[in-house]
Amino acid sequence: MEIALWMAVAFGFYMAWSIGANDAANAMGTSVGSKAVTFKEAVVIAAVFEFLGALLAGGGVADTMRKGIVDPMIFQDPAFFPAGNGHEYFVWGMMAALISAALWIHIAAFLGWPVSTTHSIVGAIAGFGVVSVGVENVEWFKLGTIALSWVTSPIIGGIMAYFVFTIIRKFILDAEDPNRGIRLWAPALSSPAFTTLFLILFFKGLKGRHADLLALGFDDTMMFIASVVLGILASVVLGFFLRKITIAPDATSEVRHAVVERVFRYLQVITACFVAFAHGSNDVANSIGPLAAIVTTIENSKIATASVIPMWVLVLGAVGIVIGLATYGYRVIETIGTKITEITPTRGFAAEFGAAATILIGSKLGIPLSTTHTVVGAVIGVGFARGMNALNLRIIVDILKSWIYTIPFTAVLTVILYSLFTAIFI
Amino acid sequence: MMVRSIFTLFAKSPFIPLIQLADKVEECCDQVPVLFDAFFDGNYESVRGIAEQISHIEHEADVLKARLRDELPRTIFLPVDRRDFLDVLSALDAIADCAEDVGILFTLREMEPHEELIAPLKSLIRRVMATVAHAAATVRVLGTVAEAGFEGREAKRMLSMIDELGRLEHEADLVQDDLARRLFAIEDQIKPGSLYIWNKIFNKVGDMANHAERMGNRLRLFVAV
Repeated sequence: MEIALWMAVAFGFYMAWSIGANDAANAMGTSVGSKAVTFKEAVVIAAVFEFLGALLAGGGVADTMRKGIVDPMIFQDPAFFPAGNGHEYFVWGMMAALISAALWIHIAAFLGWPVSTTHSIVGAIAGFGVVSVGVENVEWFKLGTIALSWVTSPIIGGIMAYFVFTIIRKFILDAEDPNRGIRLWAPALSSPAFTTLFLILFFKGLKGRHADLLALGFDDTMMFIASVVLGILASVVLGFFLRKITIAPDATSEVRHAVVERVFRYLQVITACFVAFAHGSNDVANSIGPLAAIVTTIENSKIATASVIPMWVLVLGAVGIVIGLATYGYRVIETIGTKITEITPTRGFAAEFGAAATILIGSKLGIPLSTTHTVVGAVIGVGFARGMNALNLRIIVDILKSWIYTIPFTAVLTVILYSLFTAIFI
Repeated sequence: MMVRSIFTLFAKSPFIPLIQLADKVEECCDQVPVLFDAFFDGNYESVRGIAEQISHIEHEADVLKARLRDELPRTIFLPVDRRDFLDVLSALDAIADCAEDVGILFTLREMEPHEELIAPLKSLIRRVMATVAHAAATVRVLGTVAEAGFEGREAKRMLSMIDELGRLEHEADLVQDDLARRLFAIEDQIKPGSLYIWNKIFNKVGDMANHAERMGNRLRLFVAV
């Protein structure tokens, strides 16, 4: 099983690299596009917050990936594996899934398809389930829930972004009194944004520390209250900084809008950090989830019901993402920065806030969703609020196509690799 | 490795090119009073040169229009109805087309000025030019209207500019009708061919204002809720 361990490490790292190279840029796109951050700042923010997100919060979703679609306990069942070596089949199956998903992401990058890393691994694991323990032992209902989230998460992200932008327009861009719009409404509106960000931090970022927090009497309700309080506090601090902003009553609309956009540029930097953080935490699980499953199974020679993801696995995933970003992802960010010129900070803020809030809801429910597609949904939501000058909706067709191709490809490739591996190694 | 990004989602804003087109159309129309001045001065060589110049600028406007249309496939999602946008585009184009036609009509045959028509003709041109300039100014407001999301005070400002556009066009209309009456009052002194072309010239000049107003009414639909 030594070779399995090394293969798992190599392909887990390869998958993390792919995520960093191809996907991490999507978290930063709207910020670079609106010139809220420069290209270099975007790379630094992405590197730091993707890493922190993966390291601090990556553990949560990995669990669902592993146990949700196929019950690993079946592999301990003598009825399925009379020789009692079910855990070996499990290891090679997860290996096949990991390799298939990583390969597919790489191929899709060549073809320019916007596939989701989450969908790739989910499709691969479903394929593994079908070939190893049969169609009837794949949790199709759970798979359906996940698949449904691919549709609902962009829609929820879109609806949130729609309302955020509508409110910004009504109370700030079109305020009767422009000074009150900026000094009062900008902090007031960012209060729920800050609260959401603190909620992400508490419920995802500090997930690994929940036991310690609980020991101090800090339960979910307390975390919620703390997030709200901190959100309000952050808004008060923001209000303090904005109190001196003055727009002359007779200022032209161009001047007014320029001041508003300047304020939102700062707000957008904050939301950009959290989107990168949320992406890191959400998507690193796609590579380290299977890796952790393989590693703990090999170490224990049996499948554990629940086990802590080893720290070195998390670090491997986090480092992989950052290296992917450093070796290739930065070029994607650079391209985005030069290509998107039609987004302003108010729009970027609305879209990122919608996306970040949706990812929080998804992670709270334990449903792996596609960060990438949620961002797309949020941007289109702002478009429906008449906030975008032009959107090319052909991307929706591309996304639908990539859904149709991703699942069969990764599933079938997993079946092939699984048959190959079990023939060679078992 | 091809860049895989979801941000092909963002298409180029069509409003900035639309403003550029309006500027180009205005530049084209600005040559019309220059042409008439040359005509009143009796410099027909210059008239032909300016007519050619108008035609040249009109062609540049056509290129801008074609490029803008090419960038608006059906999959493009705009904050305004795509058909309304294309209507504004074609109305702007029609203004420049009329300016070009005025120039061409002058080159069909050498026209002779009639004392009775000069003053009202100058008045008509002044009013039509004011209408066209106001139309272009209204299009230029689109930048801030889009920034404000096509609602609120910016949208109201544009609506009141469109109302003003309608008023300017109406004034130009009155002068045009008066001019036509004056033309036919002296029809006996004018050769039939000349009479025909003068009538067409007046119509084309008046149509510049008509298309400007039509563009305004299409623009109105951008901010209608």
